[in-house]
Amino acid sequence: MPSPELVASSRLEALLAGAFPETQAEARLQGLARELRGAPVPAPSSLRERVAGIGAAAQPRVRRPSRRLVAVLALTILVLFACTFAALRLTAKSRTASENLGLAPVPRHTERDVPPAIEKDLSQIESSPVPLSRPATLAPAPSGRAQDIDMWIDLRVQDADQVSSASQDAVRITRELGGVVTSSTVDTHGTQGRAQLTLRIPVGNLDDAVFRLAQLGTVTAQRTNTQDLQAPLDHVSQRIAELRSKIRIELARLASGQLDPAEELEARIHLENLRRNLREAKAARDVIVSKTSMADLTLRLSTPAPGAPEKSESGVSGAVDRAGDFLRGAGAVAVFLTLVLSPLLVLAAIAWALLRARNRRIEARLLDEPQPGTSARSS
Amino acid sequence: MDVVNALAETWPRRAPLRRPFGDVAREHLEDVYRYLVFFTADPVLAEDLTGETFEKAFRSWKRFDPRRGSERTWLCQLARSKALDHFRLEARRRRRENRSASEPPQTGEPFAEGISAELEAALRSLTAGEREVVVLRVVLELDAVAAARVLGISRSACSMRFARALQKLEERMEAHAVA
Repeated sequence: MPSPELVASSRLEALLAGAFPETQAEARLQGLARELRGAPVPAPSSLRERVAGIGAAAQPRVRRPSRRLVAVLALTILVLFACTFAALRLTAKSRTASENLGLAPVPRHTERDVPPAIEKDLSQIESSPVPLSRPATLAPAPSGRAQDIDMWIDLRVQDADQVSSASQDAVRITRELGGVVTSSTVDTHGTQGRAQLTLRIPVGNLDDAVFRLAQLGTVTAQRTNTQDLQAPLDHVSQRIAELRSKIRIELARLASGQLDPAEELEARIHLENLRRNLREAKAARDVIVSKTSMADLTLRLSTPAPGAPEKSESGVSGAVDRAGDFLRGAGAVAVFLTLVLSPLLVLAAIAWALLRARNRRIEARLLDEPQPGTSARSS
Repeated sequence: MDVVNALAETWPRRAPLRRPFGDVAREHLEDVYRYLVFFTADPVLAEDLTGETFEKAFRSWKRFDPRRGSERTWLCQLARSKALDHFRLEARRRRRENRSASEPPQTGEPFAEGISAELEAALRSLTAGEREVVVLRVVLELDAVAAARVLGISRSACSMRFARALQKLEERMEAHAVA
Protein backbone atom coordinates (compact mmCIF):
# COMPACT_ATOMS: atom_id res chain seq x y z
CA MET A 1 0.00 0.00 0.00
CA PRO A 2 1.46 3.35 -0.97
CA SER A 3 2.31 5.66 1.86
CA PRO A 4 -0.16 8.45 2.55
CA GLU A 5 0.61 11.75 0.91
CA LEU A 6 1.70 14.65 3.02
CA VAL A 7 -1.36 16.90 3.32
CA ALA A 8 -0.68 20.59 2.91
CA SER A 9 -0.56 22.58 6.16
CA SER A 10 -3.33 24.93 5.13
CA ARG A 11 -5.56 21.99 4.21
CA LEU A 12 -4.74 20.32 7.54
CA GLU A 13 -5.91 23.42 9.40
CA ALA A 14 -9.17 23.37 7.49
CA LEU A 15 -9.70 19.65 8.08
CA LEU A 16 -9.07 20.00 11.79
CA ALA A 17 -11.54 22.87 11.85
CA GLY A 18 -14.17 20.57 10.33
CA ALA A 19 -13.92 21.17 6.60
CA PHE A 20 -15.43 18.48 4.35
CA PRO A 21 -12.73 16.00 3.22
CA GLU A 22 -12.13 15.81 -0.47
CA THR A 23 -10.01 12.66 -0.63
CA GLN A 24 -9.84 9.36 1.18
CA ALA A 25 -6.58 10.48 2.84
CA GLU A 26 -8.24 13.57 4.19
CA ALA A 27 -11.16 11.51 5.41
CA ARG A 28 -8.80 9.14 7.21
CA LEU A 29 -7.03 12.08 8.85
CA GLN A 30 -10.28 13.54 10.04
CA GLY A 31 -11.29 10.17 11.42
CA LEU A 32 -7.98 9.94 13.22
CA ALA A 33 -8.45 13.37 14.74
CA ARG A 34 -11.98 12.51 15.87
CA GLU A 35 -10.79 9.32 17.49
CA LEU A 36 -8.00 11.10 19.34
CA ARG A 37 -10.20 13.92 20.51
CA GLY A 38 -12.97 11.61 21.55
CA ALA A 39 -10.79 9.38 23.72
CA PRO A 40 -11.35 10.34 27.36
CA VAL A 41 -8.25 10.74 29.47
CA PRO A 42 -9.62 11.53 32.92
CA ALA A 43 -7.23 12.66 35.58
CA PRO A 44 -7.00 10.24 38.51
CA SER A 45 -8.70 11.29 41.72
CA SER A 46 -5.37 11.32 43.56
CA LEU A 47 -4.09 13.85 41.09
CA ARG A 48 -7.21 15.96 41.49
CA GLU A 49 -6.78 16.02 45.23
CA ARG A 50 -3.13 16.90 44.92
CA VAL A 51 -3.75 19.81 42.56
CA ALA A 52 -6.77 20.97 44.56
CA GLY A 53 -4.52 21.19 47.61
CA ILE A 54 -2.12 23.41 45.69
CA GLY A 55 -4.86 25.66 44.42
CA ALA A 56 -6.40 26.02 47.86
CA ALA A 57 -3.31 27.81 49.20
CA ALA A 58 -3.97 31.52 49.69
CA GLN A 59 -2.57 33.58 46.86
CA PRO A 60 -1.75 37.10 48.11
CA ARG A 61 -3.02 39.60 45.61
CA VAL A 62 -0.40 41.99 44.39
CA ARG A 63 -1.63 45.49 45.00
CA ARG A 64 -0.11 48.11 42.81
CA PRO A 65 -0.39 51.83 43.42
CA SER A 66 -2.69 53.77 41.17
CA ARG A 67 -1.23 55.60 38.21
CA ARG A 68 -2.23 58.94 39.63
CA LEU A 69 -0.44 58.26 42.89
CA VAL A 70 2.67 57.19 41.00
CA ALA A 71 2.52 60.36 38.91
CA VAL A 72 2.23 62.57 42.00
CA LEU A 73 5.14 60.78 43.65
CA ALA A 74 7.27 61.10 40.54
CA LEU A 75 6.60 64.85 40.30
CA THR A 76 7.33 65.34 44.00
CA ILE A 77 10.62 63.49 43.74
CA LEU A 78 11.60 65.57 40.69
CA VAL A 79 10.84 68.84 42.49
CA LEU A 80 12.75 67.76 45.60
CA PHE A 81 15.69 66.70 43.49
CA ALA A 82 15.73 70.03 41.63
CA CYS A 83 15.62 72.00 44.88
CA THR A 84 18.40 69.94 46.45
CA PHE A 85 20.53 70.31 43.35
CA ALA A 86 20.02 74.08 43.28
CA ALA A 87 20.84 74.36 46.98
CA LEU A 88 24.03 72.34 46.58
CA ARG A 89 25.12 74.46 43.62
CA LEU A 90 24.55 77.69 45.53
CA THR A 91 26.51 76.36 48.47
CA ALA A 92 29.36 75.29 46.22
CA LYS A 93 29.35 78.68 44.51
CA SER A 94 29.52 80.49 47.85
CA ARG A 95 32.38 78.26 48.92
CA THR A 96 34.25 78.94 45.67
CA ALA A 97 33.86 82.69 46.11
CA SER A 98 35.17 82.42 49.66
CA GLU A 99 38.18 80.44 48.47
CA ASN A 100 38.89 83.12 45.89
CA LEU A 101 38.96 85.73 48.63
CA GLY A 102 41.23 83.62 50.76
CA LEU A 103 38.52 82.56 53.19
CA ALA A 104 39.40 78.92 52.96
CA PRO A 105 42.81 77.37 52.87
CA VAL A 106 44.25 76.81 49.40
CA PRO A 107 47.17 74.56 48.53
CA ARG A 108 50.45 76.27 49.34
CA HIS A 109 53.25 76.29 46.84
CA THR A 110 56.43 77.26 48.68
CA GLU A 111 59.70 77.87 47.03
CA ARG A 112 61.74 77.33 50.17
CA ASP A 113 61.22 74.96 53.06
CA VAL A 114 58.91 76.49 55.57
CA PRO A 115 60.31 76.29 59.10
CA PRO A 116 58.20 74.27 61.55
CA ALA A 117 57.24 77.42 63.49
CA ILE A 118 55.76 78.92 60.34
CA GLU A 119 54.00 75.67 59.47
CA LYS A 120 52.39 75.70 62.86
CA ASP A 121 51.31 79.31 62.51
CA LEU A 122 49.82 78.70 59.08
CA SER A 123 47.98 75.54 60.12
CA GLN A 124 46.47 77.37 63.08
CA ILE A 125 45.26 80.11 60.80
CA GLU A 126 43.81 77.63 58.26
CA SER A 127 41.92 75.56 60.78
CA SER A 128 40.47 78.35 62.85
CA PRO A 129 36.94 79.50 61.98
CA VAL A 130 36.94 82.83 60.19
CA PRO A 131 34.03 85.27 60.18
CA LEU A 132 33.03 86.29 56.67
CA SER A 133 33.28 89.96 57.48
CA ARG A 134 36.97 89.71 58.29
CA PRO A 135 38.58 87.28 55.93
CA ALA A 136 41.77 85.54 56.89
CA THR A 137 44.61 85.47 54.43
CA LEU A 138 47.53 83.24 53.78
CA ALA A 139 49.75 85.70 55.53
CA PRO A 140 50.32 84.54 59.07
CA ALA A 141 48.72 86.55 61.82
CA PRO A 142 51.04 88.93 63.61
CA SER A 143 52.80 86.66 66.10
CA GLY A 144 55.50 89.00 67.30
CA ARG A 145 58.05 87.20 65.22
CA ALA A 146 60.06 88.66 62.40
CA GLN A 147 58.91 87.10 59.13
CA ASP A 148 59.68 87.73 55.49
CA ILE A 149 56.40 87.35 53.56
CA ASP A 150 56.14 87.10 49.78
CA MET A 151 52.76 86.77 48.04
CA TRP A 152 51.62 86.37 44.46
CA ILE A 153 48.06 86.94 43.31
CA ASP A 154 46.78 86.35 39.77
CA LEU A 155 43.58 88.10 38.81
CA ARG A 156 41.49 87.71 35.68
CA VAL A 157 39.61 90.74 34.38
CA GLN A 158 37.30 91.07 31.43
CA ASP A 159 39.14 93.37 29.06
CA ALA A 160 42.01 95.77 28.56
CA ASP A 161 40.10 98.69 30.08
CA GLN A 162 39.70 96.76 33.28
CA VAL A 163 43.41 95.93 33.27
CA SER A 164 44.18 99.64 33.31
CA SER A 165 41.54 100.58 35.84
CA ALA A 166 42.40 97.66 38.13
CA SER A 167 46.08 98.60 38.00
CA GLN A 168 45.27 102.16 39.04
CA ASP A 169 43.04 100.91 41.82
CA ALA A 170 45.80 98.59 43.03
CA VAL A 171 48.25 101.53 43.24
CA ARG A 172 45.71 103.62 45.13
CA ILE A 173 44.97 100.80 47.57
CA THR A 174 48.68 100.28 48.20
CA ARG A 175 49.28 103.90 49.00
CA GLU A 176 46.22 104.12 51.21
CA LEU A 177 47.56 101.24 53.27
CA GLY A 178 50.96 102.81 53.66
CA GLY A 179 52.71 100.73 51.08
CA VAL A 180 54.75 101.53 48.03
CA VAL A 181 54.73 100.35 44.42
CA THR A 182 58.21 99.16 43.59
CA SER A 183 57.44 98.30 39.93
CA SER A 184 54.50 98.45 37.54
CA THR A 185 54.08 97.09 34.02
CA VAL A 186 50.84 97.48 32.06
CA ASP A 187 50.50 96.14 28.53
CA THR A 188 47.26 96.37 26.53
CA HIS A 189 46.48 95.50 22.93
CA GLY A 190 42.93 95.78 21.68
CA THR A 191 40.69 93.97 24.11
CA GLN A 192 43.56 91.94 25.57
CA GLY A 193 45.90 93.12 28.25
CA ARG A 194 48.08 92.15 31.14
CA ALA A 195 49.75 93.96 34.01
CA GLN A 196 52.19 93.16 36.76
CA LEU A 197 52.64 95.26 39.86
CA THR A 198 55.14 94.66 42.63
CA LEU A 199 53.91 96.13 45.88
CA ARG A 200 55.39 96.44 49.36
CA ILE A 201 52.70 96.49 51.98
CA PRO A 202 53.18 96.92 55.73
CA VAL A 203 52.72 93.51 57.31
CA GLY A 204 50.02 94.85 59.60
CA ASN A 205 47.91 95.92 56.62
CA LEU A 206 48.51 92.85 54.50
CA ASP A 207 45.11 91.31 55.25
CA ASP A 208 43.29 94.42 54.12
CA ALA A 209 45.45 94.68 51.03
CA VAL A 210 44.75 91.11 49.93
CA PHE A 211 41.03 91.49 50.56
CA ARG A 212 40.72 94.73 48.63
CA LEU A 213 42.99 93.67 45.76
CA ALA A 214 41.03 90.41 45.29
CA GLN A 215 37.91 92.48 44.67
CA LEU A 216 39.45 93.94 41.52
CA GLY A 217 38.90 90.75 39.49
CA THR A 218 38.54 87.00 39.68
CA VAL A 219 41.35 85.32 41.57
CA THR A 220 42.77 82.50 39.49
CA ALA A 221 45.89 81.75 41.50
CA GLN A 222 47.37 82.66 44.83
CA ARG A 223 50.68 81.79 46.46
CA THR A 224 52.41 82.68 49.72
CA ASN A 225 55.95 82.18 50.88
CA THR A 226 56.94 82.90 54.46
CA GLN A 227 60.38 82.76 56.02
CA ASP A 228 60.98 83.24 59.68
CA LEU A 229 63.83 85.68 60.37
CA GLN A 230 63.47 85.94 64.11
CA ALA A 231 66.54 83.82 64.80
CA PRO A 232 68.91 85.89 62.64
CA LEU A 233 67.41 89.06 64.08
CA ASP A 234 67.96 87.85 67.59
CA HIS A 235 71.49 86.87 66.73
CA VAL A 236 72.37 90.22 65.24
CA SER A 237 70.68 92.07 68.09
CA GLN A 238 72.71 90.09 70.58
CA ARG A 239 75.87 90.87 68.67
CA ILE A 240 75.01 94.57 68.70
CA ALA A 241 74.54 94.43 72.45
CA GLU A 242 77.87 92.63 72.89
CA LEU A 243 79.66 95.14 70.69
CA ARG A 244 78.20 98.07 72.59
CA SER A 245 79.29 96.51 75.84
CA LYS A 246 82.83 96.07 74.55
CA ILE A 247 82.89 99.63 73.27
CA ARG A 248 81.87 100.92 76.69
CA ILE A 249 84.66 98.89 78.27
CA GLU A 250 87.26 100.27 75.90
CA LEU A 251 86.06 103.82 76.40
CA ALA A 252 86.29 103.34 80.13
CA ARG A 253 89.89 102.08 79.82
CA LEU A 254 90.87 105.04 77.71
CA ALA A 255 89.21 107.47 80.10
CA SER A 256 90.99 105.94 83.12
CA GLY A 257 94.38 107.48 82.11
CA GLN A 258 96.25 104.42 83.36
CA LEU A 259 97.37 103.24 79.94
CA ASP A 260 100.79 103.82 78.57
CA PRO A 261 101.10 105.21 75.03
CA ALA A 262 101.38 101.77 73.42
CA GLU A 263 98.39 100.40 75.32
CA GLU A 264 96.40 103.52 74.54
CA LEU A 265 97.12 103.16 70.83
CA GLU A 266 96.11 99.53 70.88
CA ALA A 267 92.93 100.37 72.75
CA ARG A 268 92.00 103.05 70.22
CA ILE A 269 92.56 100.64 67.30
CA HIS A 270 90.44 98.03 69.08
CA LEU A 271 87.72 100.59 69.72
CA GLU A 272 87.68 101.57 66.05
CA ASN A 273 87.27 97.92 65.02
CA LEU A 274 84.44 97.50 67.47
CA ARG A 275 82.67 100.54 66.14
CA ARG A 276 83.07 99.31 62.57
CA ASN A 277 81.63 95.92 63.55
CA LEU A 278 78.76 97.69 65.30
CA ARG A 279 77.95 99.65 62.16
CA GLU A 280 77.94 96.45 60.10
CA ALA A 281 75.71 94.68 62.60
CA LYS A 282 73.28 97.56 62.65
CA ALA A 283 73.18 97.56 58.87
CA ALA A 284 72.39 93.83 58.89
CA ARG A 285 69.68 94.35 61.44
CA ASP A 286 68.18 97.14 59.38
CA VAL A 287 68.01 94.83 56.38
CA ILE A 288 66.18 92.18 58.38
CA VAL A 289 63.81 94.72 59.88
CA SER A 290 63.16 96.12 56.46
CA LYS A 291 62.30 92.65 55.13
CA THR A 292 60.05 91.76 58.00
CA SER A 293 58.18 95.04 58.33
CA MET A 294 56.95 95.05 54.75
CA ALA A 295 55.53 92.18 52.73
CA ASP A 296 56.25 91.82 49.02
CA LEU A 297 53.09 91.29 46.99
CA THR A 298 53.15 90.66 43.25
CA LEU A 299 49.84 91.32 41.55
CA ARG A 300 49.32 89.96 38.02
CA LEU A 301 46.32 91.00 35.98
CA SER A 302 45.29 89.32 32.72
CA THR A 303 42.37 89.04 30.34
CA PRO A 304 40.95 85.76 29.02
CA ALA A 305 42.62 84.25 25.97
CA PRO A 306 41.00 85.25 22.66
CA GLY A 307 38.39 82.77 21.38
CA ALA A 308 37.70 81.33 24.79
CA PRO A 309 34.04 82.07 25.56
CA GLU A 310 33.52 83.45 28.97
CA LYS A 311 31.23 81.07 30.80
CA SER A 312 28.57 82.81 32.75
CA GLU A 313 28.25 81.58 36.29
CA SER A 314 24.62 82.25 36.98
CA GLY A 315 21.17 82.51 35.41
CA VAL A 316 19.72 80.60 32.54
CA SER A 317 22.86 80.79 30.40
CA GLY A 318 24.89 79.45 33.31
CA ALA A 319 22.47 76.60 33.72
CA VAL A 320 22.62 75.89 29.99
CA ASP A 321 26.43 75.86 30.13
CA ARG A 322 26.40 73.46 33.05
CA ALA A 323 23.83 71.26 31.33
CA GLY A 324 25.98 71.24 28.20
CA ASP A 325 29.04 70.27 30.25
CA PHE A 326 27.10 67.49 31.90
CA LEU A 327 25.76 66.14 28.61
CA ARG A 328 29.21 66.25 27.06
CA GLY A 329 30.60 64.30 29.98
CA ALA A 330 27.73 61.84 29.87
CA GLY A 331 28.18 61.41 26.12
CA ALA A 332 31.88 60.71 26.56
CA VAL A 333 31.11 58.09 29.19
CA ALA A 334 28.45 56.50 26.95
CA VAL A 335 30.86 56.30 24.00
CA PHE A 336 33.53 54.79 26.22
CA LEU A 337 31.16 52.18 27.62
CA THR A 338 29.88 51.33 24.15
CA LEU A 339 33.39 50.80 22.80
CA VAL A 340 34.41 48.72 25.78
CA LEU A 341 31.23 46.71 26.20
CA SER A 342 30.22 46.10 22.58
CA PRO A 343 32.81 43.33 21.93
CA LEU A 344 31.76 41.68 25.18
CA LEU A 345 28.12 41.95 24.19
CA VAL A 346 28.86 40.40 20.81
CA LEU A 347 30.70 37.54 22.47
CA ALA A 348 27.86 37.07 24.94
CA ALA A 349 25.32 37.00 22.10
CA ILE A 350 27.37 34.40 20.21
CA ALA A 351 27.74 32.29 23.35
CA TRP A 352 24.00 32.52 23.99
CA ALA A 353 23.18 31.51 20.41
CA LEU A 354 25.57 28.54 20.57
CA LEU A 355 24.17 27.47 23.92
CA ARG A 356 20.64 27.72 22.60
CA ALA A 357 21.52 25.67 19.52
CA ARG A 358 23.18 23.05 21.72
CA ASN A 359 20.14 22.88 23.98
CA ARG A 360 17.91 22.44 20.96
CA ARG A 361 20.04 19.59 19.67
CA ILE A 362 19.95 17.89 23.02
CA GLU A 363 16.20 18.36 23.21
CA ALA A 364 15.68 17.02 19.71
CA ARG A 365 17.81 14.00 20.55
CA LEU A 366 15.81 13.40 23.72
CA LEU A 367 12.51 13.64 21.88
CA ASP A 368 13.68 11.33 19.12
CA GLU A 369 15.00 8.73 21.52
CA PRO A 370 12.57 5.92 22.19
CA GLN A 371 11.34 6.22 25.74
CA PRO A 372 10.64 3.21 27.96
CA GLY A 373 7.08 2.07 27.30
CA THR A 374 7.26 2.90 23.62
CA SER A 375 8.64 1.16 20.61
CA ALA A 376 9.52 4.23 18.65
CA ARG A 377 11.84 3.86 15.71
CA SER A 378 13.56 6.97 14.48
CA SER A 379 12.65 7.62 10.90
CA MET B 1 -3.71 68.59 38.60
CA ASP B 2 -3.84 68.71 34.78
CA VAL B 3 -0.14 67.94 34.75
CA VAL B 4 -0.66 64.99 37.06
CA ASN B 5 -3.51 63.62 34.92
CA ALA B 6 -1.49 64.04 31.73
CA LEU B 7 1.42 62.23 33.34
CA ALA B 8 -0.84 59.46 34.58
CA GLU B 9 -2.24 58.94 31.08
CA THR B 10 1.21 58.34 29.69
CA TRP B 11 1.98 55.75 32.33
CA PRO B 12 1.75 52.13 31.12
CA ARG B 13 -1.55 50.60 31.89
CA ARG B 14 -1.83 47.96 34.55
CA ALA B 15 -1.78 44.37 33.30
CA PRO B 16 -5.14 42.52 33.38
CA LEU B 17 -5.80 40.83 36.67
CA ARG B 18 -4.92 37.16 36.87
CA ARG B 19 -7.64 34.72 37.84
CA PRO B 20 -7.35 32.82 41.08
CA PHE B 21 -4.95 29.95 40.68
CA GLY B 22 -7.41 27.43 41.99
CA ASP B 23 -9.87 28.20 39.21
CA VAL B 24 -7.17 27.92 36.58
CA ALA B 25 -5.94 24.60 37.97
CA ARG B 26 -9.41 23.07 38.02
CA GLU B 27 -10.11 24.25 34.46
CA HIS B 28 -6.91 23.04 32.82
CA LEU B 29 -5.98 19.99 34.87
CA GLU B 30 -7.43 17.55 32.32
CA ASP B 31 -5.70 19.24 29.40
CA VAL B 32 -2.29 19.19 31.05
CA TYR B 33 -2.69 15.58 32.16
CA ARG B 34 -3.84 14.52 28.72
CA TYR B 35 -0.89 16.30 27.12
CA LEU B 36 1.59 14.58 29.40
CA VAL B 37 -0.04 11.17 28.95
CA PHE B 38 0.39 11.35 25.19
CA PHE B 39 3.81 12.98 25.44
CA THR B 40 5.35 10.48 27.84
CA ALA B 41 3.22 7.47 26.85
CA ASP B 42 3.10 6.65 30.54
CA PRO B 43 0.00 7.58 32.57
CA VAL B 44 1.74 6.99 35.90
CA LEU B 45 4.62 9.23 34.96
CA ALA B 46 2.18 11.76 33.53
CA GLU B 47 0.37 11.91 36.87
CA ASP B 48 3.58 12.75 38.74
CA LEU B 49 4.64 15.28 36.17
CA THR B 50 1.22 16.93 36.18
CA GLY B 51 1.40 17.41 39.93
CA GLU B 52 4.87 18.86 39.66
CA THR B 53 3.75 21.12 36.83
CA PHE B 54 0.97 22.65 38.86
CA GLU B 55 3.25 23.05 41.87
CA LYS B 56 5.69 24.98 39.74
CA ALA B 57 2.86 26.95 38.17
CA PHE B 58 1.62 27.94 41.61
CA ARG B 59 5.06 29.24 42.59
CA SER B 60 5.38 31.14 39.29
CA TRP B 61 1.80 32.38 39.14
CA LYS B 62 2.80 35.96 39.95
CA ARG B 63 5.02 36.10 36.89
CA PHE B 64 2.34 34.92 34.46
CA ASP B 65 1.33 37.70 32.08
CA PRO B 66 -2.03 37.04 30.34
CA ARG B 67 -1.05 39.43 27.54
CA ARG B 68 1.69 37.07 26.37
CA GLY B 69 -0.44 33.95 25.95
CA SER B 70 -3.28 31.88 27.34
CA GLU B 71 -3.15 30.04 30.65
CA ARG B 72 -3.34 26.69 28.89
CA THR B 73 -0.39 27.47 26.64
CA TRP B 74 1.65 28.59 29.63
CA LEU B 75 0.78 25.44 31.60
CA CYS B 76 1.69 23.25 28.63
CA GLN B 77 5.08 24.99 28.43
CA LEU B 78 5.72 24.25 32.07
CA ALA B 79 4.57 20.64 31.62
CA ARG B 80 6.87 20.21 28.65
CA SER B 81 9.80 21.57 30.61
CA LYS B 82 9.10 19.12 33.42
CA ALA B 83 8.85 16.25 30.97
CA LEU B 84 12.12 17.16 29.26
CA ASP B 85 13.87 17.37 32.62
CA HIS B 86 12.62 13.86 33.35
CA PHE B 87 13.83 12.61 29.97
CA ARG B 88 17.29 14.10 30.60
CA LEU B 89 17.55 12.47 33.99
CA GLU B 90 16.42 9.16 32.53
CA ALA B 91 18.95 9.39 29.71
CA ARG B 92 21.76 10.08 32.20
CA ARG B 93 20.62 7.22 34.38
CA ARG B 94 20.52 4.84 31.44
CA ARG B 95 24.01 5.91 30.38
CA ARG B 96 25.31 5.40 33.90
CA GLU B 97 23.75 1.96 34.05
CA ASN B 98 24.91 1.19 30.51
CA ARG B 99 21.38 0.44 29.50
CA SER B 100 20.42 1.19 25.95
CA ALA B 101 17.08 2.16 24.67
CA SER B 102 17.04 -0.76 22.30
CA GLU B 103 15.97 -3.16 25.02
CA PRO B 104 12.53 -4.68 24.55
CA PRO B 105 9.86 -2.13 25.28
CA GLN B 106 7.73 -2.64 28.31
CA THR B 107 4.02 -2.77 27.76
CA GLY B 108 2.63 0.29 29.37
CA GLU B 109 -0.81 1.16 30.43
CA PRO B 110 -3.13 2.23 27.62
CA PHE B 111 -3.20 5.92 26.74
CA ALA B 112 -6.90 6.27 26.99
CA GLU B 113 -10.04 4.34 26.81
CA GLY B 114 -11.79 4.24 23.50
CA ILE B 115 -8.66 4.28 21.35
CA SER B 116 -8.32 1.40 18.92
CA ALA B 117 -5.47 -1.02 19.31
CA GLU B 118 -3.98 0.07 15.99
CA LEU B 119 -4.01 3.73 17.02
CA GLU B 120 -2.58 2.85 20.41
CA ALA B 121 0.27 0.89 18.85
CA ALA B 122 0.86 3.55 16.24
CA LEU B 123 1.08 6.25 18.91
CA ARG B 124 3.56 4.23 20.90
CA SER B 125 5.69 3.79 17.81
CA LEU B 126 6.05 7.55 17.35
CA THR B 127 8.81 9.51 19.07
CA ALA B 128 7.94 11.77 21.95
CA GLY B 129 8.48 14.82 19.76
CA GLU B 130 6.01 13.54 17.18
CA ARG B 131 3.43 12.62 19.78
CA GLU B 132 3.55 15.97 21.50
CA VAL B 133 2.85 17.97 18.36
CA VAL B 134 -0.07 15.68 17.55
CA VAL B 135 -1.57 16.02 21.02
CA LEU B 136 -1.10 19.80 21.04
CA ARG B 137 -2.73 20.34 17.65
CA VAL B 138 -5.33 17.59 17.59
CA VAL B 139 -6.21 16.62 21.13
CA LEU B 140 -5.82 20.00 22.85
CA GLU B 141 -6.81 21.85 19.64
CA LEU B 142 -4.17 24.57 20.07
CA ASP B 143 -3.71 26.74 17.02
CA ALA B 144 -0.41 26.78 15.16
CA VAL B 145 0.86 29.89 16.95
CA ALA B 146 0.15 28.57 20.44
CA ALA B 147 1.56 25.14 19.64
CA ALA B 148 4.73 26.72 18.23
CA ARG B 149 5.10 28.76 21.41
CA VAL B 150 4.84 25.62 23.55
CA LEU B 151 7.39 23.80 21.39
CA GLY B 152 9.69 26.80 21.20
CA ILE B 153 9.88 26.71 17.40
CA SER B 154 8.57 28.81 14.56
CA ARG B 155 5.03 28.48 13.29
CA SER B 156 6.13 27.08 9.93
CA ALA B 157 8.42 24.52 11.60
CA CYS B 158 5.56 23.51 13.87
CA SER B 159 3.21 23.04 10.92
CA MET B 160 5.77 20.95 9.05
CA ARG B 161 6.46 18.80 12.09
CA PHE B 162 2.75 18.30 12.63
CA ALA B 163 2.12 17.28 9.03
CA ARG B 164 4.93 14.72 9.11
CA ALA B 165 3.85 13.34 12.46
CA LEU B 166 0.34 12.83 11.17
CA GLN B 167 1.61 11.16 8.04
CA LYS B 168 3.79 8.84 10.08
CA LEU B 169 0.93 8.06 12.43
CA GLU B 170 -1.21 7.09 9.51
CA GLU B 171 1.52 4.87 8.06
CA ARG B 172 1.99 3.10 11.36
CA MET B 173 -1.70 2.60 11.74
CA GLU B 174 -1.92 0.97 8.34
CA ALA B 175 1.15 -1.13 9.10
CA HIS B 176 -0.32 -2.33 12.38
CA ALA B 177 -3.67 -2.91 10.75
CA VAL B 178 -2.03 -5.09 8.09
CA ALA B 179 -0.01 -6.89 10.75
